[in-house]
Amino acid sequence: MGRIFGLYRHRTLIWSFVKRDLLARYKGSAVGLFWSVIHPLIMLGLYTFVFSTIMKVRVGASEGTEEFALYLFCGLLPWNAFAEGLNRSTGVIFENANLIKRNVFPSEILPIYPVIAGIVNELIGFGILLAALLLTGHPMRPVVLLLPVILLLQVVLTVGLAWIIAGTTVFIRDLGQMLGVMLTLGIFLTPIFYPPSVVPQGMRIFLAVNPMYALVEAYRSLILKGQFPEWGGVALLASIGAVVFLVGYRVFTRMQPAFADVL
Amino acid sequence: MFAIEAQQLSKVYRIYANPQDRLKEFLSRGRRRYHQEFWALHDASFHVGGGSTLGLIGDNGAGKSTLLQLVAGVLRPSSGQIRTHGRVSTILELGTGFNPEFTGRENALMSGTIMGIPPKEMARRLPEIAAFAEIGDFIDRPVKLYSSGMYVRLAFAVVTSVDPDVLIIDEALSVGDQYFQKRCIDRIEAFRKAGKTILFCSHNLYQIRLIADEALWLKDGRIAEAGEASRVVGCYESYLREREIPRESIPALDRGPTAFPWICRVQLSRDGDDTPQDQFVTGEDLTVTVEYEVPQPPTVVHVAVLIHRNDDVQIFATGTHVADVSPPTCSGRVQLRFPRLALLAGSYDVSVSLLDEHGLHIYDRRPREFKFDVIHNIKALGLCYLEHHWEVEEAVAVNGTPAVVRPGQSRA
Repeated sequence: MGRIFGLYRHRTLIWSFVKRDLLARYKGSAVGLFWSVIHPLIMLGLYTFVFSTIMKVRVGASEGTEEFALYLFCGLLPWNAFAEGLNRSTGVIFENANLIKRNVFPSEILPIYPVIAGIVNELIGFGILLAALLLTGHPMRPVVLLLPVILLLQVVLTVGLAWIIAGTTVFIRDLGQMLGVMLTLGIFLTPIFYPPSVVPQGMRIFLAVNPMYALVEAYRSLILKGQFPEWGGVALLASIGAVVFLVGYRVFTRMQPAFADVL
Repeated sequence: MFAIEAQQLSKVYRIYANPQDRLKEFLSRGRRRYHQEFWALHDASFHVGGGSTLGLIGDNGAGKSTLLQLVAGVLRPSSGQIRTHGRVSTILELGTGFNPEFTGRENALMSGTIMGIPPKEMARRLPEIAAFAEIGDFIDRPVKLYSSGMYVRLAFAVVTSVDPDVLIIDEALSVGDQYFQKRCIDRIEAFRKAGKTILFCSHNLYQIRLIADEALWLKDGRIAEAGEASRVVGCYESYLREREIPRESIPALDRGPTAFPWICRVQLSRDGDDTPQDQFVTGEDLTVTVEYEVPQPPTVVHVAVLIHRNDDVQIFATGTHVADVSPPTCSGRVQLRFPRLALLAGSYDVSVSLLDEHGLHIYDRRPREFKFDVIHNIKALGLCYLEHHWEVEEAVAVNGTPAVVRPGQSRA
């Protein structure tokens, strides 16, 4: 387990993968990295137009129609980063087979970089969201400075899962297909498109054990409500995240020696 | 102190007919076997002393790359142990592991990080790396745009710039132009002189002979021969020659007591020593002793002796009828002596025939039955040693002064 701190030693390596990954996405396009700003901007505008102007959806009875677009956007950003990190972790070992087979390569860093790349995009989205809130005169409280803490918990949880998925997919390639189904289920079972208040009383127990719900709610508390998140949810997220992270690392490093044989 | 130590190193691959089998075997938790085993390397034990160079030879698929990958630590052995001392730097399968999307600079830094060299230190070495690789502005372009020559040049420059204690090179020198190959060889020579340990594999047996101190011949995943480089290469060359020719069976004549003379014994030995030998060193004396029986003396017989290399190249043939020698007309023996044997390393064999008085009819023959090996400890390549000497002469100078002629004498 001591080796887990070796990850820190590879921070420059991880960062060069992240940088390359972000740059490669918009490679050859005229405005380049600017697209990662344009894309969430358009999404936010679209949600506002569809849900607030046309459909007039409300989060709660007391809130106005403009709230729903912000509510949805704030939930989708972390979910998308989570889903992107996991989806891409299925291929990350295969894409870098060349490094693993020809070097004594620390392959445990490979599932990390798509997760970080997803987080970077999420941050850009949050930046746009915060700017939009300020422009529309939404009050901003100092608790928003706690964002990095929740982001870190998200990274820990996602990286742990990414390790398990990346390692297992090398041997059971069907996992990539299964994951797509699970993530589709997940996005609907987590209150992202709907407020938790509409969930029937008997089903609330599922929300209580869903770390992604805790994560999404924490972001909404900090950014939209300007409140401290519920401690129970954060504690759940942190403990599940820590367990998944440690188990994921162990699972991955146990499979690691066999990668070069199978690839 | 050994730089590389391998003890009964084995690598077995599990071959599954399809991916479902892998899953089924996993789910049955070892109760059922769905795979076939393929032993890429079997029980290989060897060690390389610090500062020496080991060449790896063998056919394709003999396990050379597997062995190098095991030493490099990329693969884990299925059983046995491998130990290396010091920093290991590798070029496996045409180029080290570069990320095709990264630029040459980023890849160099990445390789450095993997080998435990801080980015700052690596950045300091970059100009030298770029200069050696001679890739110019391409250092800042993605590696996927490189030609294969540029790729290997960069790989070689990076791998050798990190000051490794053990350098592992897999066939990397076979790409790149003559000029670059020359510089690679120069650098490897410099490494050797600096007391580094080198493990490399090549199909260029000439290079192995020249560069390697010791060699390891792998055959079907096992060590077929190991030891002093030119001897091992000699064995391998001999094996290659033998493999290339189709073996045809020569119809054997009935032997034993007949009405006609027959050969009863043939022996190869060194001069002045009557014990049979099957191994000679270039420059030794070789004696072929032929004994024959003549059932109805006196009958005029002639003895012919033929030497072949194991790839069917006929090297020399002679006979008593050609040399105007008269062997005994009753049962007796003749000896043919080859003083200062000129043959170089290889496997050879002797055929003996017993002919009639005209040298036309064959009474008895023992085709290619008496095999012997030759090893040599002189710097020479080829089939046999030819007497020679060198003369060197400087070119005529431009201003018309006559060239100085220095008749150098170099008789081995």
